[in-house]
Amino acid sequence: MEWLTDNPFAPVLLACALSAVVLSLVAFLIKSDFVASAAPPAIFLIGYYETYQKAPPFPPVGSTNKIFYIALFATVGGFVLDRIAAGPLPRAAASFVVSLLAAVWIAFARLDSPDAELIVTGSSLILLGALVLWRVDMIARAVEPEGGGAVALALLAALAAIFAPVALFGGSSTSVGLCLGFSAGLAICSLSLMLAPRSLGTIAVLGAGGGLLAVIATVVLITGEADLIALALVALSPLLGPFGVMLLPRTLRGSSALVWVATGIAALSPLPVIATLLFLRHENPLGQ
Amino acid sequence: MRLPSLTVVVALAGLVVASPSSAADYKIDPNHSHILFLVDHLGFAKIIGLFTNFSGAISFDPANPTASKLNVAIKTASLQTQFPPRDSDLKGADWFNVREFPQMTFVGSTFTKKDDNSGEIVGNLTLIGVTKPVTLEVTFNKMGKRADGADAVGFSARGSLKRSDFGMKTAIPYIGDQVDLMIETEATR
Repeated sequence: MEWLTDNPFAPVLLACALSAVVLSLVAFLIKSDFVASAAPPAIFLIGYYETYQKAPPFPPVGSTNKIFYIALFATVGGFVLDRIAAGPLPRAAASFVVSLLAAVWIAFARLDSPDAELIVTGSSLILLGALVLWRVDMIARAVEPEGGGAVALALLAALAAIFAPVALFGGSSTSVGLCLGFSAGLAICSLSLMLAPRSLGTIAVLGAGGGLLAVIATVVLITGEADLIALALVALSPLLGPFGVMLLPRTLRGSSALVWVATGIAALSPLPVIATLLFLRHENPLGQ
Repeated sequence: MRLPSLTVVVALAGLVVASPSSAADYKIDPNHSHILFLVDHLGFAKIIGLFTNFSGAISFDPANPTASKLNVAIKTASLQTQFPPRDSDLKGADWFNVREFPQMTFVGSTFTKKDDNSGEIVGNLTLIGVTKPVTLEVTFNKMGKRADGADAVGFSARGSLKRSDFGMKTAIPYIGDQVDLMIETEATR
């Protein structure tokens, strides 16, 4: 039991995994699209609470407290868009707004004297973040085998997993636990949606993805120690997922299970390169 | 205009002479001062960290220590723990968040004398945007002239705080909630 009692990541991993199992079971048993769609942001918020051991006061002071509210606001925004059955354009606009909010609100303290690094990395985060949210939301709403909730959540799970080592070497070991726990929770939800296919509402990607973008923005723009080359490789992950499906022979692309596996493997494919790069370029923080 | 009478002038002069000696203002000497903190690591041992860049002023009168004043400002980015990756972590957004909160401050508000050489300072510590009272047990070590000719006063202070009170709850209980403080300071004028 020492791995549990002495490992700071164990509680968040367990909390995210257990909540994913429970929410997936509930969604399956009561056949609720809403529960299935709300599960990813709920898992993020549970993971946040377990990691930082608080629901921060409002208005939040400091970037790590803002993460919680960015995820919450994005979740509420996604919920509203789902309720009014918003079309593609408002959903695309919401993806941009959430990405913009994550970067600008997190980096607010630096906006008084912006330097070139802030402008370049901040703009890149906003544009890539919006692109990822918009694209994954489209995939989540599509039907199988090319899309669906299982594929969308596999992409987000892979993104969270491959950002974890960047956070570890980037001065945020706390985010590692949150990213890994969140990734595990999303992977469980994704697996459940593989077994019982379902499309997801915008609340799923906007809430969960918005929270993840806020974590990334905090590590990159506030802690400021992230390896930018590794970060560029992380940005490739959501693009590589759909590319992996294109590598499948046409005859196999009709299989939801194969599309799901190919997407996950392709999205995770930068991980070995990222890990190698980080160990070569930085002092190993695992000794702390 | 009527000039004040000689009696009044003499009386006022007497009041000035009779009042307690005023406190002297000192500046903290960073070359002979240290601010350390100790925090539990998984129950095995305590990690020791220190801040190397700080400044402050002390107003102190040994005859009337309760009227003292203390202001200290610490540059959070000067934190060191002898392991650079851990320093990066501690300076990051999850802990001291030095980019958003480059400074923490301690302002003494209540000074209580216990005996000739010790007392207690209650003051407000502002850390990552949260201000809470912190109590320091202070030992008055020495007052006098240093070899460099400066008038100096020296104190040792000990105290502890719960970092969770300041919203810094990361990794509790793996990394201890209680943070012990060790302060050794010389101040000169």
